[in-house]
Amino acid sequence: MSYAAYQSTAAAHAPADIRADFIRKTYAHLGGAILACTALCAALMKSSFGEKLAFSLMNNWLLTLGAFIVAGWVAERWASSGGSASKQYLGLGLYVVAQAIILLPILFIADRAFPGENVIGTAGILTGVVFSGLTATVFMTKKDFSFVGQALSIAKFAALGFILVSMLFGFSLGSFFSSAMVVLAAGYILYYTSNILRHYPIGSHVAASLALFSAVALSFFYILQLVMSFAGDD
Amino acid sequence: MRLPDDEDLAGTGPRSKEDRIILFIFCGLLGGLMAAEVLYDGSPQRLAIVFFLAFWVVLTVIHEGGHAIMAKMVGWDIDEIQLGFGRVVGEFQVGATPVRLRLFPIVGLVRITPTSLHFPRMKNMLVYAAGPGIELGLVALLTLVMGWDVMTTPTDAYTVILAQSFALAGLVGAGLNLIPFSPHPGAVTDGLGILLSPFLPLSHFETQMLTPALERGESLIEAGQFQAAIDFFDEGLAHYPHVAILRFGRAKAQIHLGEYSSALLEFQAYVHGLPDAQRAESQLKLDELRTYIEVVKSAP
Repeated sequence: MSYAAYQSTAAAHAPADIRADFIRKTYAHLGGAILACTALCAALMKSSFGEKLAFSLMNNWLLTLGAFIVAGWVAERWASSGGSASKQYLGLGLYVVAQAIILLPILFIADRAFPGENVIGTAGILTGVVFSGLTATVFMTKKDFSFVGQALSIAKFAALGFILVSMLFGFSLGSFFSSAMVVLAAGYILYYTSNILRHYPIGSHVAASLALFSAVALSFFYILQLVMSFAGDD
Repeated sequence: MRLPDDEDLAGTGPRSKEDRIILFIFCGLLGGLMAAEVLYDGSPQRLAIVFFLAFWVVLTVIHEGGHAIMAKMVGWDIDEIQLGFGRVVGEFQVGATPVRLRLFPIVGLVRITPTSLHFPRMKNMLVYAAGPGIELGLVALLTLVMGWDVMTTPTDAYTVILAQSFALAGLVGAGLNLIPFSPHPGAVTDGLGILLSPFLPLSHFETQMLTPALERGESLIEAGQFQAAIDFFDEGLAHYPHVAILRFGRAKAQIHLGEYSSALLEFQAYVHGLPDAQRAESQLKLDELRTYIEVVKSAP
């Protein structure tokens, strides 16, 4: 039977070749999303529009964050709507654009405040290492990490509380918080990867890749902050 | 393709000792790092994070209490109050209302049943508004007592930070609840509930009101008292002819008596008589009846 015939079947219950196809498609879409986001960030960083955008976002960070949460929610809805393929891709596309925009200010800071130190490249490599290590762990142990879901929901809620309170009460969050966010992103990578292997339905590769992409981007954002804070210590 | 809800997947929690150890390390690491962030420079403002998260839980209870109190005030029944998500950690009664406390009390819900069709839309709107309303009311009261300037000025005074954190949690909680959207299929925020209330058909409230009665009809079918079930549903239909679930229950009882075609034809005629906007749901019920006939026919 074809891939399409197993739509809605949980990955764990699909035949091995169908499941392998689903996993391949998910990671191909993830790769595409990362490449698109990288290209968009690079293009924005080289343009004067990108610079203006980055500084106006920095000045309205609370609004930016709110817009990002809304865009992320809409994108996730579209990508996992079960509707037409174009709507799902529109969701993934919207999320990639939103992610590129939210990353823009920190990329500008990294680029301008640490010239010649390649902090962005270092953060990218570290993110790749963390992601590969965690993915390999799930693939090799075949462990079902869906049990961390509730802890992740609570931690995400607490993290939003930290961010909101720090903005409104006028203090900066430091390396401990960045480290906590890297741990949270790692938890999400384990959770989504094991869900891709077991629970997500065949045919949901666009939505699954969006979920995984969000975890990778979160991880990159805070690893970059940590790299910058350590570079600043030298 | 829709992904399963994170909470659906996570509903089971850790399944083995190994899972519990991993979860303990993960939560310990996260909690430790977050605690270190709060404490590391000793500034009082950072305690606002702890106050904010603690008040969120308190305000969740107050918010759901607001819905429940308003439901009681308009004379509707409160079937259940749920506080939190995750596994149930405690159950108790407040008056005649069962309250179910779950592991993570950061969200909640109140299940209500209308008891009459006297201004149901207005009452529904009031019940929805009461949750965020009580939060905003408390924030307004606190601001009145403390003063606007005190509440909006950065300070090192712990009592003021405490009050500011309460106000922030109340404003964020009420604000999020008032954004009109559907967080997941079948659910609405208080904001969307308020906006939709004036446009809900009367049959919506009739259906809610008759749900307990429907359970009685279903139990008659389960007990094999099919004619009694038909009489029971007929009595309901005499008062509430627009309620689809009563017709559906009646048709099921007819099917058990072997009246397959009359059950289908009567329900079909009812579906065709509905306005276009209300037909889709009843059409599904019609399909369900067709399946039900096959199930009853094939039963030993």
